[in-house]
Amino acid sequence: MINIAENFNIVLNNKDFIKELSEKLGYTIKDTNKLVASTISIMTDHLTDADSIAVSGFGSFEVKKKVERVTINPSTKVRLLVPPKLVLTFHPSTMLKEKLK
Amino acid sequence: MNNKINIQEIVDALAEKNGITKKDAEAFIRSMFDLIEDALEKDRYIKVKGLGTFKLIEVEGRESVNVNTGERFRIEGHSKISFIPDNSLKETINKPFAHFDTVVVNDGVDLNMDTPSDDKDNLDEITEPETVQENDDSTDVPSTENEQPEKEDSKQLHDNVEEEASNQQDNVEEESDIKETETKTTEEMHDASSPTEKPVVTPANDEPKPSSVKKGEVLKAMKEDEKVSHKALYIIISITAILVIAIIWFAFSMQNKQKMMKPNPKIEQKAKPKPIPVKPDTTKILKDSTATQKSAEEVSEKTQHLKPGIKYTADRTMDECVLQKGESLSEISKKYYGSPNFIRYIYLYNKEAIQDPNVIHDGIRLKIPHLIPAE
Repeated sequence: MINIAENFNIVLNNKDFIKELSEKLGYTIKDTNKLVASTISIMTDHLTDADSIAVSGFGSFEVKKKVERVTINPSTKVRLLVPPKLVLTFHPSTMLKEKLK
Repeated sequence: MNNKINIQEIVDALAEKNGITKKDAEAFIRSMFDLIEDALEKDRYIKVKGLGTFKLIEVEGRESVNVNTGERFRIEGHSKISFIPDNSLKETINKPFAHFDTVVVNDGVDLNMDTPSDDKDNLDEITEPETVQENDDSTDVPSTENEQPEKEDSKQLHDNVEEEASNQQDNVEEESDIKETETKTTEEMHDASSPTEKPVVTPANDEPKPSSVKKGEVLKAMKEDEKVSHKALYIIISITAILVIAIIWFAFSMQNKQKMMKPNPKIEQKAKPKPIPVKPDTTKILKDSTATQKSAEEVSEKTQHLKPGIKYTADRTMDECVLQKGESLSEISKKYYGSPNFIRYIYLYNKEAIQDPNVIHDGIRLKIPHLIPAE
């Protein structure tokens, strides 16, 4: 299945990702799913506390605050006040950058 | 808060949560990110549910300049990793600010508004009219009083000094003293004149009186009072404004009605135009209304509603009119006969005046024929 996906250059979606991961580690798909979900929920918990997560060799996740700003809709010329928001940013590590260059 | 968390803490938490060894947990997380990496390398795209999408974006090579040496060099094309967080993750992250919405900024809204200075201005504005009602408090703000303040203020100072030593009974006395002086001013008659009100007023005064220390509080209270009355003032002003607008609108609509009632006489009298009274004078209106009645009768005699498609002949001159600038024969025809199709009759009836029916100059006196069906 995965080979087919690779051969046809079909993008890897979540299902394939889980499946490949389970095969790699020898877990069942169910367990893998659970582990991935809990990993992400742990990361989310840390991120909502405004922590940054650094994964060595991969990159870092960081929450940044964007300040409010006024934009103008170019077609209607309506001025809009965009509220401040928190966004998740990802900075790939230099290793990953080099590898994928 | 704002800590740098590394993978070890996630491993620990994961191991604890799922009851697996730390070794397994670490292996799992490592392979998970390795797999993301591999997938990125192979497919340039990977979507992890709950986390987001990693994508490789091709960046084209471009020319650039070395900032230090000024040398031109080329940045080769390469891939860039883009990460778009999953919608659910995005929302969880933004939860503290989720209640904010993008709003339209109205015109004229100054975004750099300085509110404190604004408040001050308002205070100054308001205190003047306010003193009339709040005579008790006003003694504390010298700038707001007109003539009596100096007297009262000095007195107040005295009072304050005394009060620091004495009790509230003095207060009452002083109050009455002040009241006497106040009664001199006509504005504040009500409060002071009736002795029954005195006890009611004095307790209120006791608060601000014991004094210089509490002045700040008093001022605060005053500000609040003024804010409230400020609001009331605005409401009153807006209500009166609405009323005025309504009255004006009503008057205009009445005028329009009158105009509608006498559309024809106005046009007929264009030769000797009658000024429409701007300021309604009762006598003039009376005259007007009688005039409109008259002219309305005349109009009914001077206009005809004719059916097009039948042949007509003119039997007499029904009316005369002077062609206005910009007016056409068809308009006149419409005016008198209700249809622009009767130009021919007007032209034929005014053959001497009109040389060329296609070129008519304004100011021509036209005789309007009364038409009867030709049999």
